[in-house]
Amino acid sequence: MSSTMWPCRGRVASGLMAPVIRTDNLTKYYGKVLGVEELNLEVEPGQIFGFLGPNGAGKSTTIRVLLDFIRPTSGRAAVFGIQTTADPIAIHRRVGYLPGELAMYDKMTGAELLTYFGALRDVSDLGEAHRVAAMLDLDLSRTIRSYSSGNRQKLGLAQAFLHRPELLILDEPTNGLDPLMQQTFHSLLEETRAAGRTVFLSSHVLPEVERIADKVAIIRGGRLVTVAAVAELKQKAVHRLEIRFGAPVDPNEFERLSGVRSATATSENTVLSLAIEGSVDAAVKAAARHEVVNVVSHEGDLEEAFLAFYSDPSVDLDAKGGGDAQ
Amino acid sequence: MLSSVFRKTMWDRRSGFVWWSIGMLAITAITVAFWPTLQSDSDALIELMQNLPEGMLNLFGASEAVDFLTGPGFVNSRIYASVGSFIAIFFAISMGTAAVAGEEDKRTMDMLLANPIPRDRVILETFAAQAVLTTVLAALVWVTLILFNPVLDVGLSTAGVTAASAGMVLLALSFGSVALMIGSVTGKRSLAVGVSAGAALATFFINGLAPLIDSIAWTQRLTPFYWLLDHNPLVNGFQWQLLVLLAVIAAFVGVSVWGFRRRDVTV
Repeated sequence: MSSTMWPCRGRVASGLMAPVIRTDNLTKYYGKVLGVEELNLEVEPGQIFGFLGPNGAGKSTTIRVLLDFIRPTSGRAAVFGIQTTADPIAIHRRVGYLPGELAMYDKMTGAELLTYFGALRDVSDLGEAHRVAAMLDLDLSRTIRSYSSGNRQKLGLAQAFLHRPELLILDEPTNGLDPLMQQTFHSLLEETRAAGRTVFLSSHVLPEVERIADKVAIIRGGRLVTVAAVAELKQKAVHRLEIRFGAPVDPNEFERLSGVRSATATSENTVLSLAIEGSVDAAVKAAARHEVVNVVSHEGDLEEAFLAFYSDPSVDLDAKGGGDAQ
Repeated sequence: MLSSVFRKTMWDRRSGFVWWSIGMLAITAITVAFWPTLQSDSDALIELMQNLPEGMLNLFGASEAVDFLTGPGFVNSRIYASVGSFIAIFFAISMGTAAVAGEEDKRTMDMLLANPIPRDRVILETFAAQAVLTTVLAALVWVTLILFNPVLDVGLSTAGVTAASAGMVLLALSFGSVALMIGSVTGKRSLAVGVSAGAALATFFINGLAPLIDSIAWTQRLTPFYWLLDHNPLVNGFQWQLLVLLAVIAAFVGVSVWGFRRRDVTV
């Protein structure tokens, strides 16, 4: 490959390629109301990047800045290295977008909407959009008015994929999709990543991001809490074990073990609830010394890490800036 | 069909516009159909008119410049100075409002603008659709009058009907572009409808009533109605005054482009 395709190869201590999305101290206020503040993000190409946070955290605000629907109060954002306020049309050409507040032209049929947006994009081959619609089992011949919210979401996805964009910006993409369709959607994302394209998706649903994303940024109250690889976050995740013993045990014996954050006993010290960070090995071995009646394990997931970030504002407030040295 | 914002805007109107057209045709046809009756009964009518206060006559578009008891005077007061123009005005306002504020109100603007089309194009293409369809409404008036004119002996001239119909288009677009402008600058649908429709009614009354009071007579010149009606195009044909309306429309559309460019799109 020619060297011009790898403009960042020479950069020291950076990713191989220039970031697809980059924000620098991005701040947006709506009057006096905070949207996002001092947001620094970098999304590398070929990733599925999860943007995680509760409703009202600033996810849609960030996304709408990226598409130049709203302008930063201070700081800036760039997509493909193009500043959002400088040439939004050039960005739009290469981005597929699913809005969070999904509303479409009610009087059109699904097929008509795809035709319209195809025309606005100068794309005459609607094969990709129709393929996605078919994968998601969407009947394009019906009017949008008659669609359920799940069907609207499917159409929203189909139009986002229409021009095979290099970057997909999806705001709450699985809203209203049933679990089977979420599976289909995930395979669609994997296929997109395999083709070297980038996905930036927002969500307040943790297991979803955990399953699909390579990297996750957590945002709360307009501020970035952390950016980390999903694998990294999983290590921080807390496992919960509930062990029922044949005879009373002393919770202090477990509290001392490595990784155990808390140990509480109930039912006259015969039921022990453990919160364990990382491996459960030590706790299980300690329990084995007693008569164990039953063990219930709650899958350690991102939710635990996530909740920890939300409940304790002091946790890891130094954002890692996309994991790259600047 | 759905190949541009302009065409899509026309497509949106495909069923609703039929009703606006029927309304415009019916009003025009019924009005001219009454002319022969009125003419034969003119003594009674003259007596009635003489008893009406001056302000009322002005509002009917029957000031000295236009004699209500001639065919053109009658058609002018019933169509161009009142009902017909108001149909065109409210249609243009509905389009001007839907263009930007309506699209935002329905929350479809994000999805539309995510396509590689500049915001300017949304303004200009929806306005073009507004202008085309408003012209069609006025053309229906033109056709109806031209057809009935010889049959009912109304005494209209083709040049006069053409100028007055073009003037009706410009009058309607003046208010339609106000709706577009307010929607583009603020994104607020109810504000766009309220201000533009309010302005249409207020300027209609100002144009009719201000001349009665010397100290405020000049305010008449601030109304689009004045620039259409004062020089009586239905009788006199094209006059330069219509260009004033054209300039006003261009200014409002210009402000629309500027206003929408600079602000955040509402969700």
